[in-house]
Amino acid sequence: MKETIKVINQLVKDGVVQGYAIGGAVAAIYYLEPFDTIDLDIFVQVNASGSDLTLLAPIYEYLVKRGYKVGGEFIYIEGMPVKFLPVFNLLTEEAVEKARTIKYSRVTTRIMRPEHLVAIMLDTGRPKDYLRISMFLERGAVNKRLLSAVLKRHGLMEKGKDNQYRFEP
Amino acid sequence: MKKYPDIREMLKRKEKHRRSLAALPFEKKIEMVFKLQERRKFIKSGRLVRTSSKSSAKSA
Repeated sequence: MKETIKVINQLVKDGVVQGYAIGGAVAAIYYLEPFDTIDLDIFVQVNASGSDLTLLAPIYEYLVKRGYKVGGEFIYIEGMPVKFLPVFNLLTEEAVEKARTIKYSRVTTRIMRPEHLVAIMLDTGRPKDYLRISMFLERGAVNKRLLSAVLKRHGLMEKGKDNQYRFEP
Repeated sequence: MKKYPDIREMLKRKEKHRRSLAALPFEKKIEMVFKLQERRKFIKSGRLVRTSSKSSAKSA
């Protein structure tokens, strides 16, 4: 994954994307115990508008030119399936902006904060998202005050309350 | 009435183990994810099933 991150950092250096943060399961693993997952979700800030496919086209062109192969919804960077997602609302935008800068095997990368991960999962609302939210809450991996603030800012308080029974032990 | 074993201690230990896994360095956790993927591929390949059916055929 170290080599994969290096390539993604190069995307920023070369101006293909403005910024990025790791989200999804890999980001969750940073705060929780490891669990099986297949891909690396990268949320990117791009300086353009349009459909998601148009937005991601420069990233794919850049990577394909460097010999990386596209397979289904992923692009394989240094052997790792990577899924790029453009920030698609204020919540994901904020999640990328406020991401933590960490080191992975001495390579700098950015990872979403747990409160944003939980808010995004609540917004997405698939069964596996609810399961992971309960893992975050059970393990005390989120700051509840910060989480409430994020949910309030992004209009997710009601959804949080409506689904609370899914997270409580 | 049937008496069942008390597994509270076992569950406590499992929780403790989960917490110790969560406290591992990120690199180590990602390494474990790759191992889990290999295990999943191995199980999906059905090799384990074929091996056991071969051995049971031999022993029969």
